[in-house]
Amino acid sequence: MQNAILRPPAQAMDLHRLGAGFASRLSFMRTLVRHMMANQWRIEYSRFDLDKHGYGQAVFDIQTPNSHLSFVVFSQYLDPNERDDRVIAEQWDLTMTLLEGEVDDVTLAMLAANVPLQEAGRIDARSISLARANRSARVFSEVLENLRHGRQPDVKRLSEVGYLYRTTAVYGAGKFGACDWDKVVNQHPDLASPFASEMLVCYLLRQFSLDQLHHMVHQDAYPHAVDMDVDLQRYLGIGNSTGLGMAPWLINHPQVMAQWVLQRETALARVLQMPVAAAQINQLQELMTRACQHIREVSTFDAWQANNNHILLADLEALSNWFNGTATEVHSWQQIHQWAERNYSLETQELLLNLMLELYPQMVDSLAQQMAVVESLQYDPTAYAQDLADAVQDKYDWVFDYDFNDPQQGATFWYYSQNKIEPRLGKVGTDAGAELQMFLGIARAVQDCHTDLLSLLAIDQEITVADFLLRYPSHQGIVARIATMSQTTYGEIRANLLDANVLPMHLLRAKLAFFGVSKFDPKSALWVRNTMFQGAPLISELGTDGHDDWSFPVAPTITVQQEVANG
Amino acid sequence: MASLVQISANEMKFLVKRSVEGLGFTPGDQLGAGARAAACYQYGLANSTVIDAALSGLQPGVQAPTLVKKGAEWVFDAQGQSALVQAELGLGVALSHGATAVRICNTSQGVLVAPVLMAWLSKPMTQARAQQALALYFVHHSGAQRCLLMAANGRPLGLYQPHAPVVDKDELLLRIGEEDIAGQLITDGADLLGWRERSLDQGILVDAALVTRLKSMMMASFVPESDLSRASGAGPS
Repeated sequence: MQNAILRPPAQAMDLHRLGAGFASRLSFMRTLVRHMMANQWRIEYSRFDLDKHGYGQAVFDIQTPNSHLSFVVFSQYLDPNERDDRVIAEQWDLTMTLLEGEVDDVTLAMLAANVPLQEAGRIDARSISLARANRSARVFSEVLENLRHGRQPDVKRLSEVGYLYRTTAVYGAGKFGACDWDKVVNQHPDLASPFASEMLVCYLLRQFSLDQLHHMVHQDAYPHAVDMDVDLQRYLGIGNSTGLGMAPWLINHPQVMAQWVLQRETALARVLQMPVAAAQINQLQELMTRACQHIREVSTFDAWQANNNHILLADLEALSNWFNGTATEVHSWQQIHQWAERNYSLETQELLLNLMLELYPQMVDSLAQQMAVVESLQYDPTAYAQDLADAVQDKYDWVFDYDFNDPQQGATFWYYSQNKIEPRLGKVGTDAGAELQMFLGIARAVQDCHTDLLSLLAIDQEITVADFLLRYPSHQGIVARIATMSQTTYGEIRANLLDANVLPMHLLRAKLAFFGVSKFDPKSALWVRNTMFQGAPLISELGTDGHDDWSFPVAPTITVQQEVANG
Repeated sequence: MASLVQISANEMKFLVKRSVEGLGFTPGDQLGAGARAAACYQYGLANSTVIDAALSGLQPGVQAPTLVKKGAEWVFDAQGQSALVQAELGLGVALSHGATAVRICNTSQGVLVAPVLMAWLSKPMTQARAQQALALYFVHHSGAQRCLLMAANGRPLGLYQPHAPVVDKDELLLRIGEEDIAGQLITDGADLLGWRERSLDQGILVDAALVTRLKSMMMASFVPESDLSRASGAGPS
């Protein structure tokens, strides 16, 4: 294979483009399920102690090739008035933890005393992840009542929501006493991919939501109760509510983001250099048709997202027409990609690229093994300051696009509230707390550092980075960042997060697309609902073939509506 | 006996970072402090007494150590700043100018710079003369002299008790290229790495009082709650 040509960082790391991302074959949900299926993970309940209302506890026993894990779920009554998706909530319908080994009675008692408390409790280094979820008030009761009375739920209604529960936080990486990421890497290689344990939690939660539902359906009082159609079960995912926290995470872990983008861009570059056959165009058009239907089924009241979806659908129709009119003249994927770049929206371009990846699993899938990176922002004190200044010019040229003398460029600040350390946004000069803002103004910090570098280099060109830092110690953090990130292919997300008009939604979506979520439904500029694992195989299907093609799921057609009179 | 809490290295990093931020230190100081506190704990080089003393020694008004003397041994004055922050600024300058020894005076808890040195050595340095074994001398919290020997690739080779005093109580000394320590080996490199593995497996045990102190300190880096902030600063109400 020829050396593939990567898209330039100015394009791939542009925040608006990242904010137009979609799930792909390399998204973490897809790669986790592929890994589970390839290695035939065994997942079954070792406990399922729920009362008729669905309250109680359940434990999954999970055997992977390299680890024995447990997933413990606590289900409790939650006053609907207490149901809150924000970090500051203090009670939830479901709380859960993923931990290593079997769960005995002593451990279960310890978990029962702590997991439902979430941040206010403590877990130990056996735990890998801690999470919680709230029930979909809209759907759960309707589905329950239908099944109890022998009817399948309304597919359209399910399509509008797509899940029975939604997660409101999934913690990993050493939070609240859980083990550090390095332990996962060393001892649980099946989870040593980015966010694999968090994705596993969501996948298991989805299964629990179905099992809890059926447990509540099949009570003695409902002799005509039926199971949900298996296609509908597969169509249900797990919901997710994501707020501002993901945005600072991306900025604070630049090596991770650069690595994710590099793998995805490598996959794209490999595919774009391939010749095109008519059969592949047909295959791509089938995927486009499914993606269109998926987008049509997205339910959102957000005008911005709705308009994006509208444009995307129009673009895809135009693209399909273009294929039909010029199919014999299309010779390469690059040609198609260039056409899309000239004619369609960012969302359409990114969707098209991700669909192309679906056609070449043999070129793409192995890149999932290279998503993880050892994080360490550091500088070499013996390096020459001139080299650092050159690195700014070469790799951080984009920061000079911003004029921080313009108050609008620094009008937004990000901070943590003392209330459960919830990330929030404020306006400088209006909201309190600007002096305690997070360090997210990378462009401004690089500019300031560069100015001081040049002033010192004007006096002495032979100075080292250490000399510079002793003179300007406040730049130590950004120097470590520049020195590290300038060595990566893709570097930083290119945006000024302090801008008056910053759109946090782009950052949220950028990360969520790598997770593999679908159905973005912004609820404001600051948080978004979406769906995870919709269309993924059920646990009972893990050992069977043919379940890797579940991107852009569409509502199934249920042909037989079982109408059984109650009693 | 002090009450102990098991926390992760990541929690230690976060708690110390935010605590240092709450005192007004720069982002570089914050990140550095969190990382080195966690790493030292994981290697068994620091305990709650060390971290507690290092926090008490923080001087928010001090930006960097000042150079006192150049020569065969470079000397910096940390101006009372604990080695939780900034000490590496002096060490880096000496290393980059080919010094064979550098002493930081007027500091405390010198062991805390060890993770910074290990990280520097773990990657090729521009000036190869700096890429040598490093011997870091400091005073243990018990008052005894200690020396941590690091290989040229950053791996810890062993913790020694020098036969004769090398540093004063408020000093640390770094000798570049020193591979034979005149002292008794207390813990070899394999044990230090083993301690880290054990810390990863079981978490690290920290005095509850230190955790309480850190949680209290870090609150100064967060914005107090208000109705306006709660209503307009984040997601759904």
